[in-house]
Amino acid sequence: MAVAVTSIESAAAGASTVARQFLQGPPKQLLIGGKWVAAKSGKTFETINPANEEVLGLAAEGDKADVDEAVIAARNAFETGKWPSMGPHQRYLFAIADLIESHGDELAELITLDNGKPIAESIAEIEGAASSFRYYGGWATKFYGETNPSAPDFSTIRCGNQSVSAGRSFRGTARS
Amino acid sequence: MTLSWKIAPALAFGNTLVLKPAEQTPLVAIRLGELICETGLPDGVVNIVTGFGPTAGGAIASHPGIDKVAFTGPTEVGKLILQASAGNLKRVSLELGGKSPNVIFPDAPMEQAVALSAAGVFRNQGQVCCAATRMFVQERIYDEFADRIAKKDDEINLGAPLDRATTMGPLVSSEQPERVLGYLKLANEEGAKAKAGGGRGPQEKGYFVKPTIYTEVKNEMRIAREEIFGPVAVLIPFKDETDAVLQGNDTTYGLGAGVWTRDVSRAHKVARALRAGSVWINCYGLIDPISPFGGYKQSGFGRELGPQSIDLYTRQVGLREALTIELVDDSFPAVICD
Repeated sequence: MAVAVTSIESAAAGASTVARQFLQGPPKQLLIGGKWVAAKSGKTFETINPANEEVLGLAAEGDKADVDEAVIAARNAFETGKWPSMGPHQRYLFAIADLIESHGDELAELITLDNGKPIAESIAEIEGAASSFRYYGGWATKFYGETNPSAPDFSTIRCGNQSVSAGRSFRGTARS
Repeated sequence: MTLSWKIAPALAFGNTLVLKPAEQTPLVAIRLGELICETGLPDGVVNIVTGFGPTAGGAIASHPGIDKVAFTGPTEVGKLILQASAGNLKRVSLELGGKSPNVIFPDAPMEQAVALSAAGVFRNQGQVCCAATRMFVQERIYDEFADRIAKKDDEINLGAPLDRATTMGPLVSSEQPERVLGYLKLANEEGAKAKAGGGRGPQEKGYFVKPTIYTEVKNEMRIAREEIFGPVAVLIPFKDETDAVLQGNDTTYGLGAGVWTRDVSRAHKVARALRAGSVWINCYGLIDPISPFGGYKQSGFGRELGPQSIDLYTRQVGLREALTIELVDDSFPAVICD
């Protein structure tokens, strides 16, 4: 069983100062509507270092009530916020990729502390995450939709005596 | 971080999202959330709710205000998500379990085949959905291959994962060694022979299990059919191409597959015949953002990464435009099918 008392020095032995600084302090919170908040229930759960079975820290235990709040925040940001019209969104994806890389060692250590995989694998995973953000940052400016040829009977029926129509399909933005 | 395969495309196409990281590993997601906030992204675009699957995850899967769910995790949870999604018919993409075949022919580049097959099954302690857990080895080279990969197994340095000399760390949670050890017991009962590893690691603390390789395995055994999600490989002999493909496809999963041979036509023939979302020829487990990744059968559906993933995060609209705006005939049919 995990030891209930958290000593970061011991639980995160071998980790860098910056990673240990992140682990110090109060329980980690939920990110909802741009603010870090505790779970509505007030509950937290332990996250364990699988290499030594010690507690690395506490995280907010969100449940349905918190998901409801998060969905309202996401829905508002999508329906009435400026985000959908802030495109192309590439600059944010590139900025995230840059931050992942400049904090790569810390993020890799957090993966290894929490997951147990060797640090070399975590470093490769961080590099992969940064390249995923860059890849999709590229798509943000190269996503034009597609134009299909017009169907001949469509144009005939639709336009009666006219033989010309435009058939076009494109992809818009889905709500997620 | 598979979460980047979800956050990045969602943001690229203007979506907003709620992220629920795995309960075993919330820390890196929280730190990434802090970094994302530094970019000046508007409030509410990225939300993070840590918690447990049945509560927080379940609430997401069934939420009427969410239009799309992307999930990476076990097949049984994927099925629950699909059921829960029916309430508002939300779109779902599932990247689930696997029992991936890795086929080694006698003309394979053997040194690479041994090293990369071992890496293909033991990376992240085998807790990888596309891990090459079923190694099909042509019967003429079966014993030689078994000896060589067992030697490779012996060279694995099981230990503290922050130590750069370590090549394998502990399993992710206290439940995982119990689950894996249960399969090791089952393997013995089914008549498989542990060629390397077997059992817990020598460490006093931590969820360590030795990288384990079984020979004398038949594809019908449960250790060859069920996803163990730990450092366990099984070596199964095959006669020829047809036999390899038949056995390789005899699984409920279809995520990854490997083919090792210097014969180009055989490589492509077998690669096409194996029913898997990703097939690697003379390598294994390489993933890059350009190539789509995802499964068939009970490994799930939907393709992440690559241009194919765009469909998951966009909606398609057929827009038709008339070039003349004249009412020529008001009797055109109400339904047009072509």
